[in-house]
Amino acid sequence: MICAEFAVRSDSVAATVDLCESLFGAEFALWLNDFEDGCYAFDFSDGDMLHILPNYTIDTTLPPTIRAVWPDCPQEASRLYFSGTDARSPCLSALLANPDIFVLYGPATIWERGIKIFEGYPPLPENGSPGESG
Amino acid sequence: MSDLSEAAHWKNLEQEIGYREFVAAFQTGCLGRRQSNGDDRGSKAGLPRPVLSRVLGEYRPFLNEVPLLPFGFRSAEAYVGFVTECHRLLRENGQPHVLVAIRGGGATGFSYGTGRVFDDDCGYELAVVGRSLFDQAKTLERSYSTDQRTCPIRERSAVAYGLGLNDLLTALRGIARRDISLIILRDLAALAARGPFTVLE
Repeated sequence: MICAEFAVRSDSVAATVDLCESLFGAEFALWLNDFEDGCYAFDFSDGDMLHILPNYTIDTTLPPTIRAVWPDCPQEASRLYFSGTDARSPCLSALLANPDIFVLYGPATIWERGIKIFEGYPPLPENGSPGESG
Repeated sequence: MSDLSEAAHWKNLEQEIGYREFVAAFQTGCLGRRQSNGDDRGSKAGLPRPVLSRVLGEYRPFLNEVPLLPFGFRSAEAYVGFVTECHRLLRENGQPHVLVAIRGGGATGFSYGTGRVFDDDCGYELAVVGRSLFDQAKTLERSYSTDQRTCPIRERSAVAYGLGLNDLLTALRGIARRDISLIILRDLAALAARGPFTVLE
């Protein structure tokens, strides 16, 4: 399983969802929860999955405080989580091909049966082998 | 579970969730506000009645009015299945001594942020309390978090894989038919500080 996280340069989560819906021809479903003020998700038929979340979290302290989840990104940005089974996935390729919009946040990771077998930046190894990571 | 192993389990759980420190802080007024109605039955919304009554039965003033059955479960059987699977998978993953609670709208019936009533579109927010798991999570996180809690951990995220919790999130989503995310908290005090919750047991 490949995991990659992207900071999305947009004005709001709604704008990010619109952008991804037009890019992938997908209709994202909204899940509501108090942790994150909502999460948009789409499950692709090939096993890829995208989650879009705001880059802020509300601490339910008194008084409540709002903080950026990824501290070095603005609160207005969105977080996009990709997970999939293939490094050549069209979805992942499309995200990596637009670095001006989708900024990889930290290294991508590849997991096999719960064990991390790769951690690094593109180009990603096609079969997850660290030896092919370049 | 034999009496001996059960006693050991509760002792380990008590240490993992910082129970004694929590009680001490509560008694000295450092946590929340204790209410009294004259017959020494205090009330503090959000405190985990089942655990408190089992781990420290003598501390009755903590007993509260938080419903034991979280919102969104269609029956008691569905809830029991969810809880059983949750604890089974945590045990399999090497975390038998943690406290798990539902917080947010699943515990209160409405969204803290918006006031929206908890319905079929709302997900569950699980809080897992345990020092060992928390320390492990801190080594994996890249997100904002505090010295008391992690950021929300989602299914199929690198942190979920790294902690071995992805199967748990997938299984619970399948059972509850809801989005599931979880945070890991260092101790019971951190959980209580974040508002109402219902312990899963």
